[in-house]
Amino acid sequence: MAGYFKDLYLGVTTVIAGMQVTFRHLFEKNITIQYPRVVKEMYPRARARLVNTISECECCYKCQRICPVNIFTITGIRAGKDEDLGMLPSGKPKQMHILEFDIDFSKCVYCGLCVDVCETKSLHWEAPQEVCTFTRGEMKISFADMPEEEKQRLLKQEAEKKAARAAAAAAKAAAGGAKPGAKPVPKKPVVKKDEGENAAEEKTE
Amino acid sequence: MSIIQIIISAIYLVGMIGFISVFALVAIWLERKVSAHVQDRLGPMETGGWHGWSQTIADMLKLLLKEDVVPDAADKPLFKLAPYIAFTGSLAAFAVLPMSANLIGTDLNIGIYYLIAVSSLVTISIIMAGWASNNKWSLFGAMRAASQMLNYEIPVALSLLVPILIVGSLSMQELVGAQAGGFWNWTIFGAHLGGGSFLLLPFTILAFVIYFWSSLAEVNRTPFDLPEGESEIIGFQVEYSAMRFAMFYLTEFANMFLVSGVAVALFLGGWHAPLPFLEISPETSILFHNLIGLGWFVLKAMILVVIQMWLRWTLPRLRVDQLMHICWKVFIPFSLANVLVVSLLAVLQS
Repeated sequence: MAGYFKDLYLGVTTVIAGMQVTFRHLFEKNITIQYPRVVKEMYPRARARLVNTISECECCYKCQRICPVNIFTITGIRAGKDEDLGMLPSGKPKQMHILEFDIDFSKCVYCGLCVDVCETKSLHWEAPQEVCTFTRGEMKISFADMPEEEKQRLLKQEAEKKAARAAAAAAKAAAGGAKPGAKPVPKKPVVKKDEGENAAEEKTE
Repeated sequence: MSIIQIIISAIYLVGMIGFISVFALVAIWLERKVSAHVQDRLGPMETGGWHGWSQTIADMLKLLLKEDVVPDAADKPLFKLAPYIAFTGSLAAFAVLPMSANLIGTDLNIGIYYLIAVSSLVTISIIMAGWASNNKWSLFGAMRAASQMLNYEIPVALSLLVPILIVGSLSMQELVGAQAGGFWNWTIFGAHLGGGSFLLLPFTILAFVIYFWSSLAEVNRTPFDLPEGESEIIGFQVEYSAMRFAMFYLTEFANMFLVSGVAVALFLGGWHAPLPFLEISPETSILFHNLIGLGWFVLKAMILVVIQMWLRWTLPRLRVDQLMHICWKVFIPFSLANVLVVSLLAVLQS
């Protein structure tokens, strides 16, 4: 019988205690964030989006080479000796025209290896609030800011240069054709010396 | 019965259905808001601008436009009829609810008796719904509903006997009329018997508490929402969709108002103001007398409805055996003893 009344007492008091708790919460600050109107600040070190500051980019292809899922599409052309493209933050002169720098975020695994290897720190993480897109195509973001006609001009110039070099190499090969076995030797140093970077470019699709 | 009386009754009926619908729309919105704020959320905020006030209107339109699915194996006539019978039972009880001095469907001399009897119709409709759905879970839900609601009729009736004993009438308007002239005259303070002494105070408060808790079980609300079990256990309305489901929902909210209204009418002074000067006497203006009375009645009932919601979002659901334990081992003995003591005192007084 005592247990019965103890139960009753406990029942009544715990209901009152519970109602006090819920009453307090009625007037407590809500935790809801009304998303489209109120946007929550992202954490500054969040790995949300890769951003490349193109003016600081060396176009060294290190990010492309280290990427495990191949999300970068980079096309760069070495500038001529008389061209001035400005300075990198490190103090070295910028040597590459960047025609194309696309990152396909639909493939990205957010490992951050590319950011680690970037020597100029031009490739970095940013934390935008809204990273969603409606189509998968929109996930591919282009960072190169070169105008189309400039790009065409550079490509044409480069093709001409290449053709000229090939012609020169052919002429050289023809000149030294008497020596067998020497044929591949002069060609390779030519490529390495002048087109070391462009060789990497040819690796891109 | 003259034509004019029939017309007036029809107008009152339509007005009552309108009132219940509007109340349900407001109460569903309020319920969402209360539940949200109890859980530190915001609830509906978009539809209609200010705090999502028209969310339930949008939901109602959605339910009206949805496909009305009737299962192949269901007992179709019963299945289709059940929600309307539920609502009819609830609406019929509203006929004797004294909304104000003249705003009452009919002031039966056995008003409260009729109300208790006719509101049990909801149980029948729930069994109908569960049986006709031809679904085991529906039937289980209906069984739970039937056992629960029939059990809780007993403490409800016994605790309602206390104000009836004090006032000495079964007519709703007489029960309310005895509580005129300030909150110290309300039945919950037990003032009538013994001329202003508060001898009956513990018994009337006990009766009120028992009535309020048992009425929660009668309207299937948490902590007694075993028949529905919206979140986990499946209730009698599994197979219902669209408008028929909305009718059950409407009935639930109409019943919420009904049980609160009965509590207000019998314990909390009905449509009388808590202080006498807050009323307008019928001699000054019969219209405003009724309007102010209606305002007080709805206000008091709404406070009880909010307390019902508050309780709902505070307490977890009881198990079936706990539910029966509370009914048979706590409420019924206590309300029986209560009635005995009050009737003894009533006899001694007279």
